[in-house]
Amino acid sequence: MSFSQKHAPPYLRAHRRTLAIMSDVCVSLTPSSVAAVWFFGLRAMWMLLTAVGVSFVTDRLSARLHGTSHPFDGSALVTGMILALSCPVGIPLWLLAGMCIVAIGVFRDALGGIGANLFNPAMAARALLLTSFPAYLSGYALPHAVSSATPLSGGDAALIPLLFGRVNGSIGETSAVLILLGATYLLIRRVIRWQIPVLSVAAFAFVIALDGGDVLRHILSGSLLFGAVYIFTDYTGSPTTPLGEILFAVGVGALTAMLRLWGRYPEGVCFAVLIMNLLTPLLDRLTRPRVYGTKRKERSA
Amino acid sequence: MNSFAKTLISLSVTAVVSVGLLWGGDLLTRRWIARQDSEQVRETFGEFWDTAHFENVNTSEVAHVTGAWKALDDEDRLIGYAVTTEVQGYGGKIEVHTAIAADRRTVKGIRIGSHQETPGYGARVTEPSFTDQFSARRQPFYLDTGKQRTTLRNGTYRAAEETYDSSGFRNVVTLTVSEGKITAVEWDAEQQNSTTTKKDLSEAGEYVISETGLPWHKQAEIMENALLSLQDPARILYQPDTGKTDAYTGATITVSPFILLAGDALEMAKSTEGSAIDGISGATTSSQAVINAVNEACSFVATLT
Repeated sequence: MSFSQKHAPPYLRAHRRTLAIMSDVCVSLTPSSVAAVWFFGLRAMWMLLTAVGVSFVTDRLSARLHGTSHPFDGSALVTGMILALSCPVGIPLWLLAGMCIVAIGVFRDALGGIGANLFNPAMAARALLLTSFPAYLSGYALPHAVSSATPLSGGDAALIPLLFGRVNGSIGETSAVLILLGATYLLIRRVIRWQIPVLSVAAFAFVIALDGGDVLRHILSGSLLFGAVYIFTDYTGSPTTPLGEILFAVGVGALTAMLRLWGRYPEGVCFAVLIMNLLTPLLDRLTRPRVYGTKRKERSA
Repeated sequence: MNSFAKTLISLSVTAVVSVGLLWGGDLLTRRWIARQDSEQVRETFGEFWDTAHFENVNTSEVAHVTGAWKALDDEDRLIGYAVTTEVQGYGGKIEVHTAIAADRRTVKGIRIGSHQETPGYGARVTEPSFTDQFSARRQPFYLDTGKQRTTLRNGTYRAAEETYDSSGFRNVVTLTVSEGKITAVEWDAEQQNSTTTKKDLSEAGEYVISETGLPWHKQAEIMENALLSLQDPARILYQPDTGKTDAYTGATITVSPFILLAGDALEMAKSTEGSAIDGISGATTSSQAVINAVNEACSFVATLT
């Protein structure tokens, strides 16, 4: 299928349900979760359990509050896992729980529920709390050690530890190998398509190269790979058309690089994806396919 | 097989594969990382010792100390200590690398590692004009406020009256100081020509002050606790003309000997040693944080065997 091919209706409904998709995402997050506990110890496990537990409870309570009867679909668990894995090991559990409540209760359900949310709920909650409690969300820790600089904030880290995860950073984002393992699983299961992850990383690399930076180190550092696989590919936050996906991927990758290089915070995935979430409806509109059976509008001479 | 079982199997397989990859990665990278760590220590502290190699020192469960090494020369003789500490600054954690001479008190120099201090203010702790103040100076370090600072030296200090009183006793006060604070106080009275003290006699019921009041050793304990709480005998209220106090319930004995002797013992403990450091203008918190980090490094090294 070429990039320029547009998909005109009628459409057939896929037989896969949300729960099945979310189950696959949970399985693909398992390598990063295992790595988190391996490198950062039991605290990482408590973080995951807290985030998943609070997200689940918030999801059920929110459903009751809104008077909806939607069955459990696993999306809250995925949000919880992503939130936990994108936080440093030193974050207080109460703050992590608060992020989960804000993500599910406010940025997802208060804005219309799954499928209708404008922003990626996990990243929106993260951005809100990053600006409100910056010290908690930027105190990264070495595996089994006390905090120090991340590879992005000026610390030196060669590539091998970045590949395997023995560096400081958020608990789920340090091991590139295991993130790629999870990505492979999602691609095989056809939960995600390769375009957004690959093109976003390519656009990111391009901007870093233009700035003269160490491209490989930047790709393997921070939350870019994790974001490219699990955050940029969020169904609701990204466009539905192939061309829209390409534009979204290029935009979010480039923005991530620019924010990382010139922004105040050491990594820009969070804010980049929120900006592109805002542009997603526009991208969908600009790239929507022609309605089947109609003609293109003639340009006036 | 239902979808739940399939998911469970996928989860299990993924977890096992992940553990295998992590274990394999660990094996592959362990030596390389140890070498990198060693090179990083050399890079951080090499400017203080040209030809040193470093031997790791265990710092587990030591607050604020994130790394420590012994600096050894070519013949494996100890030439100093390298300590990395981390303290809370104004904007976040500040990492301080301290090189300490073999005498465990003189600082050879410091370097600031990572920090999140405000540019133009706290971030200026990285400038040589601040860090050079620590070079070739002895701990404890303190922020220069214009006044001479007095600290208490660790140790046990004993002050006793010169002569025995008419009943054959002379008061003795012993203070124990640790980390700048009085941690133990003992007030007793030695008996002339005997090894038995007033406290021994009181505890045995052989020295009775009155039928109704507390025994002597209990009243002495009240005053000991008062001094521990106030940390300064000059702050204990008493009437100089009678030598007694009504500020502490149960203490009816004459307390003036205790207060005067405790003051004498404290004078023995006082020291004006230490090095004043000019802080960064407008960045007292950051400056003090670095000073604390260096003092912690020196305190850690002092505990090493």
